[in-house]
Amino acid sequence: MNAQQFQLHILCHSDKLYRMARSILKDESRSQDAYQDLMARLWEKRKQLGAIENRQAFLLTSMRNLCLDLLRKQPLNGEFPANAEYNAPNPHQVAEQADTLNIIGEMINSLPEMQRAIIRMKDVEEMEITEIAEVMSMSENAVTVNLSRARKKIREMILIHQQKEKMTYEQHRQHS
Amino acid sequence: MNNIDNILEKYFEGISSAEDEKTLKNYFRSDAVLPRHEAHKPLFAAFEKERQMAAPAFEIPKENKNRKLSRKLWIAAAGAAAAILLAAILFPFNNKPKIQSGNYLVYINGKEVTNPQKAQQYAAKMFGQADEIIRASYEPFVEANAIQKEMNADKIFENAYQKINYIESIHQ
Repeated sequence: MNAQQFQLHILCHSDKLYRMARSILKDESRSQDAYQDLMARLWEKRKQLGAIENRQAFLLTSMRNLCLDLLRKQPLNGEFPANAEYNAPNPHQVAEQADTLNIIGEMINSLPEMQRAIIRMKDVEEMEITEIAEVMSMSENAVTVNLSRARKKIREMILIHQQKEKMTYEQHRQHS
Repeated sequence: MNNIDNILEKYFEGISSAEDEKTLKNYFRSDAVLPRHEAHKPLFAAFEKERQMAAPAFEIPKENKNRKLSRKLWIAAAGAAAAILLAAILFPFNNKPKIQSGNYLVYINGKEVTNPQKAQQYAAKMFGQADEIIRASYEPFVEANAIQKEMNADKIFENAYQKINYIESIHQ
């Protein structure tokens, strides 16, 4: 695979790979380093890349494995444990957090790694269940179950957040 | 809008099709979102926002053609050096003055010999030594063949059979 083919067949997946890194590492700088590291490794092995059938699944799996390996070596500060519950911000925090979309991003980040990887592959990258199952090395049924859990959990968090926002608004109205 | 409710239900169960999800995205992107669906709007907007996150540029390293060239040059140089060395070993006297035709000259152990008879004697002696070396080398094989012949199983069995017959005839 020469530079032109590398550009055409590998770098076309760059954004998805970088977003995968961001989803796992939750840090811009570390994600950029991980992405550059993966690309450099792939470039070194470019002669073998031509034989890979499902490149997108292979690349995403590689990116995920690299990031998980980085996390094992150097865990994130404040990483949510796998069974963590999302703590909705208090009314004061809610008043400070104006950007709802960023809050939803944080909600997704509060999910266990597997669930947030699956929900992002499905709803952001618009991948098929079959392909997600291949990347995650699990059955399609397991992907569906985890996807459903992730979506329901986010829905619940959004509803709680909206109720708190409403309460804050009411309190603020009464004071004024 | 019951259709949207049904799709949303499938969506949260994780069983919505690609077509269903496309319908939901278009619906929540539009201005026609019903109040009872408003709560879900930011979720789809958040996915849209994440989709805009782009990777940093990766600069493909330049393939180092000079390195390949220098390796080729190195191989060529090594080949030439090996050829010169081989030539020097095989033809060590190339720098000697050429002998005029009609003169007789051979080198034996690095010494010039101009007398043909001496050279022939030396050659005959060397051939004799070589013959002796070959004969000595084959000696073990000749002995081994002789032993093999003596170890012939039929012959041994025949001898033993004759001896047994002889002993039996004595007893009778």
